[in-house]
Amino acid sequence: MTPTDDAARADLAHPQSAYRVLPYDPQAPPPDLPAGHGGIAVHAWCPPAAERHTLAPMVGVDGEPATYGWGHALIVVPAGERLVEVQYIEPQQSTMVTVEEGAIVLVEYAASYDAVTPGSLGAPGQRPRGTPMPLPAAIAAAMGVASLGCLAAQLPFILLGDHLMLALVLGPVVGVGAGALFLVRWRRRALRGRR
Amino acid sequence: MTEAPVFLGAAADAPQPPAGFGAVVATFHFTSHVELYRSGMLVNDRPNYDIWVPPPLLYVDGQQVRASWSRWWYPLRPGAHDVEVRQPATARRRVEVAAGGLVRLEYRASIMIRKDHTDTQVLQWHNTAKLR
Repeated sequence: MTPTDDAARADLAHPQSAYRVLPYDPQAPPPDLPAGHGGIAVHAWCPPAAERHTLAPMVGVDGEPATYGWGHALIVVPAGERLVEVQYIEPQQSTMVTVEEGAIVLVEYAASYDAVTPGSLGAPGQRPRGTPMPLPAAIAAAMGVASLGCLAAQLPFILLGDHLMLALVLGPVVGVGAGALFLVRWRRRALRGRR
Repeated sequence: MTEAPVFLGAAADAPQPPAGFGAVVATFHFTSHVELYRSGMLVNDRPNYDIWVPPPLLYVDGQQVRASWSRWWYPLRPGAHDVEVRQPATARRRVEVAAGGLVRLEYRASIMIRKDHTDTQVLQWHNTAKLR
């Protein structure tokens, strides 16, 4: 099979793939590989919390595209040292692997939780980087509600000119401001990543 | 350059250069975007998530050396060296390398891919870059 034999390509093959890309099932016996070749079994996945703002990555080998999409695929490559690279809008991560003849090297890519942090690439067991949105959002919202409660309770003391209470109230106000600033920056970064 | 470049990736520290050598650590980065045109008019744009960006073509003193969209370490003889990236966009810099010294360079390219309005045919690549 040549690299242009579309019928034999896996679903994950990049349209311009320079390599033979096969479906790969980690539980099934590995396919036979041509003489002088080995395989790079790629597993690209995205944490559910990031699915809304993350699109599928491209994986390439030695500067040439190979796969595009989420899931498992086997990239057939000549044995030797190979540079595996992930691109998604920007370069994400790269790693060097040594592929021996007839052997399969497992490589895993985990997208990050946010749209800014690069994903993680390497041996199986990768964990998404960055922070999922629900946690900072919940913290910021809780801070905001608590701070507003403090402010309302202390308003009479402020109006009476109690400067100590005024100083105490500044803390929660700064907290609200910091929370809002964090949310605005996070939103901007997320939008920049989606554009 | 008599020593081979070394891939560092995101995390690895730069090794000590061999005796009588200095080194350059170069980081290569790009951002890419797609614009859709109809009859010469921009009708839409989106991030580039599906068009592969080939690796940078790096030349040191006129000799091509390996590079990719990551961090690389290049051992060099002490003295002035001409570092040039020819693709995806040209950028050039002359660096002075001292024995045992390390020069850090960063190449950042901005890649704009123009396609037709159906998002199927690439019309043109418009790339700019800085090397500093």
